[in-house]
Amino acid sequence: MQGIREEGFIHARQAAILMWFNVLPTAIIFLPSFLARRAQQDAWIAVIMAILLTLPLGFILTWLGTRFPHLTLFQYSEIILGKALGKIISLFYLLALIQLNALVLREFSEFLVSAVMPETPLLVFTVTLVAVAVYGARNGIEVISRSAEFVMPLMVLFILTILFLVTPEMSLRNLFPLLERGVRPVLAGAVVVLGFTGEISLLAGISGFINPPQGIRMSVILGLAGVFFFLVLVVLGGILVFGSAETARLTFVVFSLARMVSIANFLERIEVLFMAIWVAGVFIKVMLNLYITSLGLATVMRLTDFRPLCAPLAALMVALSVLLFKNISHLLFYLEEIIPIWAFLWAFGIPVFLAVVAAFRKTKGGRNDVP
Amino acid sequence: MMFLKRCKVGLVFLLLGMLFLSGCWSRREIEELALVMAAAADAEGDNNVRLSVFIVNPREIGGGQPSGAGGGGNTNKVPGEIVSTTGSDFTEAARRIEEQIPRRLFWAHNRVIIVGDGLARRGLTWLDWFSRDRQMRLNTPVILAPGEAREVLDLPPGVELVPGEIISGILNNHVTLKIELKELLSMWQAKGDNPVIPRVTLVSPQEHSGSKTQGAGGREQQSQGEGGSEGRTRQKAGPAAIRFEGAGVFREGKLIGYLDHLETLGTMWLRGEVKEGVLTFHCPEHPLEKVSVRFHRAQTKVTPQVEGEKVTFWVKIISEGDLLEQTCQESLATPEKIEELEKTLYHELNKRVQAALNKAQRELKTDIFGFGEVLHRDNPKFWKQVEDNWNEIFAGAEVKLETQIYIRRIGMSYNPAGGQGRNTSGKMVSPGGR
Amino acid sequence: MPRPYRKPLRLFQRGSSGGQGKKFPYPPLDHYTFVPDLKINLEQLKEIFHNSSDVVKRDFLIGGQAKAAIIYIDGLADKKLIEDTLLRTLQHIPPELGRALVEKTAPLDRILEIIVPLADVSPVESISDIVNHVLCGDAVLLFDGYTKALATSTRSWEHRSIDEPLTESAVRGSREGFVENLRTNTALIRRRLKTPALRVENLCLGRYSQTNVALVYLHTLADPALLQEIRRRLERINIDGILESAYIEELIEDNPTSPFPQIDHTERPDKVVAALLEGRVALLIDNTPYALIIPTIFIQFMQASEDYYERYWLASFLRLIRFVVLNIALLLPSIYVAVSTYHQEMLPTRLLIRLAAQREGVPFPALVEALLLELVFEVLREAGVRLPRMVGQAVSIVGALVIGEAAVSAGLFSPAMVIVVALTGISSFALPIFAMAITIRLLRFIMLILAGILGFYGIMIGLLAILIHLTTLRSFGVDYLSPVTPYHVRDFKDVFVRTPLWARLTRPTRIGYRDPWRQGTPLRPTPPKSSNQEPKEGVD
Repeated sequence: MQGIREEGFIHARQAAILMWFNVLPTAIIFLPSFLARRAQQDAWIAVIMAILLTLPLGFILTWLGTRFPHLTLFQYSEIILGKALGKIISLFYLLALIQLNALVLREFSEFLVSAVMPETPLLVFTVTLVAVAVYGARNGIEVISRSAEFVMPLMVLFILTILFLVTPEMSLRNLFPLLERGVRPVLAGAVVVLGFTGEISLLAGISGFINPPQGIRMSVILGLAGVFFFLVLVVLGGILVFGSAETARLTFVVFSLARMVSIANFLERIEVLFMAIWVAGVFIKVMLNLYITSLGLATVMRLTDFRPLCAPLAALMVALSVLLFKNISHLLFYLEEIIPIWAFLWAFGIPVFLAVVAAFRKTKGGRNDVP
Repeated sequence: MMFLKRCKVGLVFLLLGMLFLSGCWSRREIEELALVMAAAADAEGDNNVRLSVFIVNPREIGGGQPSGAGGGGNTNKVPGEIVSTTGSDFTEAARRIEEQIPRRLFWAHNRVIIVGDGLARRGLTWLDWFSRDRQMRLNTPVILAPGEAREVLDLPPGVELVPGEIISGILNNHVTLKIELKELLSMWQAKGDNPVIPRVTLVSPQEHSGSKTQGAGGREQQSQGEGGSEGRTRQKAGPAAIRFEGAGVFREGKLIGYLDHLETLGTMWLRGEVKEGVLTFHCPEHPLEKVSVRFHRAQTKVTPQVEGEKVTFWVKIISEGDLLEQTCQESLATPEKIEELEKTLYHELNKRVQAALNKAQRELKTDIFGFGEVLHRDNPKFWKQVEDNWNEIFAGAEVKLETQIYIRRIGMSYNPAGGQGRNTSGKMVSPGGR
Repeated sequence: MPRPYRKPLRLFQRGSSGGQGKKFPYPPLDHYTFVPDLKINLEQLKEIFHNSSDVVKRDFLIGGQAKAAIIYIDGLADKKLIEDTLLRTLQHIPPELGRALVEKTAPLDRILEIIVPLADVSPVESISDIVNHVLCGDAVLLFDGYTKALATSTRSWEHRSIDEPLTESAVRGSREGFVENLRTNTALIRRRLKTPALRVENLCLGRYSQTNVALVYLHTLADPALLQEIRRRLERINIDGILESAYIEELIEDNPTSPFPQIDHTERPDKVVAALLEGRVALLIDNTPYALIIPTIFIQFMQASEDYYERYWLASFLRLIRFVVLNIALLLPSIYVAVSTYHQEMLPTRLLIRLAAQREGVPFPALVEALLLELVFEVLREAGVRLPRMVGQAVSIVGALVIGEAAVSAGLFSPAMVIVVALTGISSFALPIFAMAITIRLLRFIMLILAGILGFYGIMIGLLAILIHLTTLRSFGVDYLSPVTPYHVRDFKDVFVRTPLWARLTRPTRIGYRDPWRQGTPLRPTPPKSSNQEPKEGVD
C-alpha cells in the first residue's frame, strides 16, 4: 500500500478464516436465544434464510474487490466518490467500526462476568484483552491472520466436540412441529442474524491485502460457508438439547450447552475450557477490528504509519464500551432490536452505495490510482 | 518524553503490579468454600421459605493429612453439617445461611434439590432461584419430600457418606423416575405436559432395622406393606433410610396429587422414561408362583389419532428382556412357553398403565404423560384449538396400549433349580434335558 | 531530577574484524614492515611478542648456506614435525640449492617447491600475517634477503577426543560428538557428506580471539539469499572475543528480545548433516563443540535425532507425548492454581473434597504455595547442576524427596501441589532441546502469576500473548511457526508425527525450495512378488 507501512499479504483462505472469526464468536453466544425467542424451534431455518439475505453483500464485496484490486475500502471510496465525499464515507464507516468494537468488548466482558467470574469488574477483562490486541494489531495483517490460522482449528474442534459430546441429551422431537407459525417469525429471526453476519463487510477493509486479488471471491464463499455451517450447527444443537422454550430463556445458550456435557461421570463441567477457547476467538475479532480501524484512519488521514493509532483507538473503544450500555439488558435489547437496522445501514449500505456509484460511473482502479 | 520512553518497561511492570495489588476479585481458595451437597427447599409460614443445605466437612471425608486438630477424639464422624434458615425468598435465606457459617456457599456440586410438600403446593415458581443462579446446574435432579424437605437431609451416612450422594446414587440406579431441573422446567413450560416429580418416603429406624435384611431402596416389585410411611409419622431420632416411592403431580405449577408406586411405574412407561427394570408376574399355569423378567431397553412410541373432536392415543411399548427368576417348577425355556410369557407381560404392563391412566384422567384430570406435546408436534392445527383446555380434553381421550415385548435370553440355566422339570402333561423329564 | 541521557561510548569505531578469512591482528601491526633483512625482522617479531616464553625462534642454515629462521609457538605447533621433518630436511638439502637461495638465482617459489617437505604451506608477505600464522600454530620460515616468508601448517595440540555428546545422548545412532577443534568437526561432517557440493567457508571473528568460524552448507540446496544474509550479519560482528557459539547466536539472531531460541545448537554431527540436507546452513566455531543451525523454527525443538532412527510408530507416539509434555511443563501449575482458586466447579466432586481436605491447615494461598514450591524446585535444580556429578544426583533426589515429605508433614504445603510441581519439573526435562526447556521454565512463572490473578482467563490471555509473539518471530526469513502458520500442508509430515522415511518425499518448503524432491518414488519396501517358479529339486 502506498505510504502506509503495511506490506503484508494474505491468502484467500486466511481472509476467509478472518471473516469466520469476525462473525462467529459473538454470534454463537447471543444469537440462539434471540432466534428462539422469535422463531421458536425454527430458529435454524432463520439462519439458513439469513444466508440468502447475506449473499448479495458477499457478491458486492467480491465485485468491489476485483474491480479495485489491492485497495481497501478506505482507498477506493475516495476513487469512486472523490476526495471529500470519499473521506466522509470512510470516516462514517470508521466510526461505525469503533462503535462495533466497543460493542464487542462489552459483549465479551459481560459474558465473562455473568457466566464465569462475577465479582471481577468489567474493565479488567476489557483492558487485558485490549492490551494484547494492541500488541497484535501493531504487528500488521500477517501476524493477525497467522494467529487466526493457528486458533481456528482449536475453536472448530472444540465446538464440534461439545456438540458431539452433548448428543445424548439431544432429542429430535424438539425440532417439531416445523414452521408452526409460518414463515414470518422465521424472517424476523433472520433479520436479527443479519445484524451479526453483516460484519463480513469488514472484508472490504482488508481486501487490499488479499493476494491474488481474485481470491476475494473464494474467501467470501469459504467465509460465508464456514460461518453459516457453524451457526446452523450451534443453533440446531441448542434447540435439540434444550427445546425452544428453554433456549429462549437462557441468556448464554452455548455456555449452558457446554455445561451439559457429561461423559462417564468424568468428563464433565468443561464449560470453562469452552470459555477459554472462546476468549481466543473474540480476541482475534477484536484485534482484527482494531487493526482495520487504525489502518483506515491512517489511510483517511494520509498518515505514514498506522501503528501509533492502535493504542489510542483501543483506549477509545474501551471507554466507549463502558459508556454505551448501562446494563446487560440494555445490551441485549440493542443487539436484538437495533443492531439489525444499524448494520443494514453501514455494513450493507456503504458497500452497496459504493458499488452502485462505481457501476454508474464506470470507475475502476488499481494500486497506482490512489491519489 | 525521553523519560517516558526510557521507563517503558518500568511502566509496564507498574501497571502489572497495580493489577496484583488491587486484589483478585473472584478468587476463592478451596478452603474458603462450603460445599453444598444437598439443598432442601420448604415453605415457611405464609409467605416465607426455608432453605436447608447440607455442607460437607472435607476433613472427615477427604482423608487428608492429619494436620493439627483434625477429627481426633471424635468418635461419630459426621460427614457434614446441616444449616437451615428462613427468609422471604431463597436468596435472602442463602444470605442468612452465610451469616452462620464461616465459609462461602458453593453450589456447583449440589447433588439434589429436595422440594418440600408445602412449597410444592404453593407453587413451583418459587424455584426460580435454582435455575437463575450461576452456580446451579440444570441437570440437578429434583425430588419431592413427604413433608418437610429438611428432614430428608438427616439421613445418616451409610455406604455413601453424604445424603446428596445417597439420593443421587439411588436415582442413578434407574429404578425410579428421575427428573432433572431442566426437564422439570420444560415439562412445566409446555402446554401439553405437566410436571411429575419423584417422591421419597422416609423409613424410620424400627422399620429400617426390620427391612434391613432385605435391603431398603426401591426395587420395583417390592411387596406392599413395607412401612410406606408418609408424612409426619416419623421417629424423633431422624430417618434411618430413604426410599423412592411414588411421585407428585403438578398442575399449573402447583402440587395437586400423588401417584402411588404402581401408578408411578405406569407413568414411567407411558412417558418413555424407563431405562431398565424388572417385571414380576405369575406363572402362566400356576398363579401362585412368580416369574421375573428383566429388560434392558425400552421404548415408548405414542401416536395420536384425531377424529373430529375425539382424540385417541396409540401407545406402543417396545422392549427386550431376559428371564431372570422363576419359582414355578416347570421349564419356561421352551419357545411356546416364552410366547405365553410375553402375552402375560402385556397384561402386566397394562395393569400399570391403566393404573396410571386412571389416576391421571379420572382423579387428577391432568396430562402428565406429555401426550399433549405429542399431539402438538403431530397435528399443530388441531392443537391450536385444544391447547388452552387440554387437561380436560385429555381426561376424555382414549388410550390404547400395544406392547412388543420379547424375551430374548433365559439366563444361566434351562430348568428351574430343583432338578426335575415337569412339562404340562406331568411326565418326568430327566434333568438336563429340555 | 532525571539523569541526563547519555549516549553509550562508541569504542571500536573501526571496521569489523570479520570477513572472508582475512585476519587483522589486534592491536594492529600495520606499522611494522617486512624487510629483506632477517635480523631486523626477527627483532621486530621479538618486539611484537615481547619475549613470550612459549614463542620459539631458531636460526638455522638451509643447506649449510642460506640463513633462515623458524618461529613457532610451543604447544600449538607440532615440535616433532618441525624437528624431524622440516628442520632436518632443510638443513640437509644439497648445498647447491642453498647457494641458489643465497645468490637468488631462481625465484623463491621454485626453490621452496623443491625443498619444503610439508604439505600445507602458504606464502606470507607481511609481519601481520606472520604473526597471525604463528598464533594459529603454524611454523613460519623466514629467509634472509627475501620479503616473503613461508607459513607451514604444523598445527597440533592436545584436545579432547571424539566422545559421546554429553547433552544429547541417543539410544540409537552414532555416538560421535563434535569436539573443540574446528578441523576435526568439519572432518566429521565431510565423512558424512562426501560430495563436492559441501562448501566450507572460513571466517574469522573476534578481535582478540580471532576465532575461526566455518560456514558449512550444501551448495546446491542452500538458499543464496540466506547465505548472503548470514555473511552480512557475521561480518558486522565487532566484538572482543568469541568464546562460544552462543556469542555468535546472540549477535546474529532476528529477535534479540524474544525469550525463544531462534537458532538451534547441537553437538551431534548427524543432526547437522540432516539439517544440511534440508537446505539449512551450519556454523561451526572453533573452541566449542556446539554447532549452530540456521534457520530454526519452533517444531525443530520438538524433534530429536533418534526419532528418525527408531520405528516410526514409536517415534510418532513419542513426539505426540512431547507436545503434551510441552503443554504440561508450561501450563500444569497454572491450571492447577486457576482451577482450585477460581473454577472449583470444574473438578469432580470427590477430587474437590480430597483437595479441600488436603488444603486444610495449609497457611498459604494456592498461588503463593505454587510459586514457593517452584522456586524451591529451581534452586534444587541449580544446586544439582553445580555439584560434582556423583554427589549432584544424590543431593537432588534426596533434597526433593526429603524437602517435599518434610514440608508436607509440617503442613506447609499440600501433597497435591508437590505432585503438580514435581510433574512439571519432570516434564520440562522431557523436552529434547534444552534451550526450549529453559524458555518454558521462564514462561511458566508468568503464566502462574496470570492464573493466580485471573484464573483460566488469565491463562488464556497469557497464551494469546505468547501466540502473537511467536507469530511475529522469524528466523532468517522463515516464519517461526511454519508449517502450522502459514499453512504448508506438505511439511506436516514431520510436525506431530514422524512419517516413515519412504513417505518423506519433499524438503521443507521455505528452506529447501531449490530442490524440493528429496528422494525417488516409490521407496516403500515391498516383499518380492511370488513368481511361478519351478519347485526346487529334491524338495517335496
